[in-house]
Amino acid sequence: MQIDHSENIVELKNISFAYGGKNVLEDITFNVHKGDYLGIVGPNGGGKTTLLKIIIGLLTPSHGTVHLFGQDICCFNKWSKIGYVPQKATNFDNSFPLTVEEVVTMGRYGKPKNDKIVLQSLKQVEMLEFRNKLIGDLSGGQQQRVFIAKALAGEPEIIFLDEPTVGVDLKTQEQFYRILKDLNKKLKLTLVLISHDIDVIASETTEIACVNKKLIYDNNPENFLRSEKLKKLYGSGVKFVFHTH
Amino acid sequence: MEAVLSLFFIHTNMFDIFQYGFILRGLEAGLIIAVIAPLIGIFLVLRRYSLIADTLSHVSLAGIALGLLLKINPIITALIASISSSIFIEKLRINKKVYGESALSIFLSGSLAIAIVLIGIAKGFNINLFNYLFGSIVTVKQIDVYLIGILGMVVIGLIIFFYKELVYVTFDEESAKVSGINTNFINTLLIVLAALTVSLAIPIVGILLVSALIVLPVVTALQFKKSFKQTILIAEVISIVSVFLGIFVSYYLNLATGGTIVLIALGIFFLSLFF
Repeated sequence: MQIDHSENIVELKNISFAYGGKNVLEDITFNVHKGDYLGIVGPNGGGKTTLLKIIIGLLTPSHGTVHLFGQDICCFNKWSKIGYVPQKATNFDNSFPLTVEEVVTMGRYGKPKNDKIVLQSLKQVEMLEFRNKLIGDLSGGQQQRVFIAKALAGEPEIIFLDEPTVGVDLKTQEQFYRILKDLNKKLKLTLVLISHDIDVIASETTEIACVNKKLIYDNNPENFLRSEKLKKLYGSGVKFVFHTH
Repeated sequence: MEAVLSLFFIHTNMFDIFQYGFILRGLEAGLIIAVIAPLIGIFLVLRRYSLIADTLSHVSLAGIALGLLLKINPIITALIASISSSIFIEKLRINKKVYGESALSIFLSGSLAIAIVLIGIAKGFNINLFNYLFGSIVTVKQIDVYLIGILGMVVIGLIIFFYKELVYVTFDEESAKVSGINTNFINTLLIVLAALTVSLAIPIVGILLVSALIVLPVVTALQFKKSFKQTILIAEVISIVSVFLGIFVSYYLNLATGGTIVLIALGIFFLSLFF
């Protein structure tokens, strides 16, 4: 199946955001196209999470417009097209009485009940055998896979992931990124991944957006990261280490 | 337990209890309260909102004092006071004008102050106020049973209708919002339902113990580490057993109803820690 990369799923125009009188984001304009695997990188406090929250309507920008699937965010109502894996997904109470299956079923909110899709989503992230366990009894990496399954269960067209591998061991991280790559390549899912790990973004994603109050966008992550533009964003004296697969 | 049961049979026929209208009214109202308390409690406990039950019960005290002073049914004035305060507390929390806990303590102490002033104006109330403080099924009138019954059904109906939304918002408010749920509405609904439950439970367990009935069965059920629905079911069983046993035991041993109910719930909680 050919993907039409010219179709815009997210359109940001001149987005600025100020918090407590301080500018966090300035004049950000870019689009996410259908089938993209966009990585958003940037230093801590550079505004990555703020930008993501603006895109999905959790924060309102001071200036600029956000369109999702061609609809202005203010009146957007096709929420079932969107999957979201938040940064602090692992921060809930470990004694929260929800089983893995109950969590994934939540992902189908607003859609008809369909146990088959729920189980299939769990299978996709290799977590089917854990379906009757309490979410709090799983390791951080396993919980994050469940949250991906929850996003998948809603059969979205785009999934936003905010630092999904924080606190997850290296081996599990690799498995996690393999699953994401498969989703993007095989299911043609559009992905937007926020990470502070430039190495991961360079090797995994197909486009890159660097955010440090302002934004530099490129559709060739590896070349971009070797270029001078990045130094401007992070400041000089920063060393980046790459590895290729 | 056996000793208590044998006491029943030695001293009186067990079913004598049903001859008394006030006991029947107490049991009817108690059953409804026992059912709705954990339904609200599970969401309050998991959202770390347990303290709100305490605050709303003190707000209800101000309402009850006003009702006794104006000779209006105190449950109705308690309902009006707690529901309007609950909406105001939620507004303060959303606007972030004050911290969540500070809003709760302002309302708790403020309404206690209003209640004390009203009691002063009335130059003290009779035994009635004491009953509302500590709970006594003698306080429950037939009209109260109807009121508790109808509003209790409203609480149950709304929780069933908005169950998915309530669970989602409790688990992860941000994701719930991104799923298209109106989280402000669900938060306000929860706090208003909590206000309703607290005010309705006061005649049975009393102002000072109402939060125990809302919190204890849920905290006990959470010890079993089951799914959400199973946890609710366990909490319901604990709550109903505590309220029924509490009413029976308090009647036969001539103890305070509210205190007995809460002590039984507390006993079950300590037992659950050994599982």
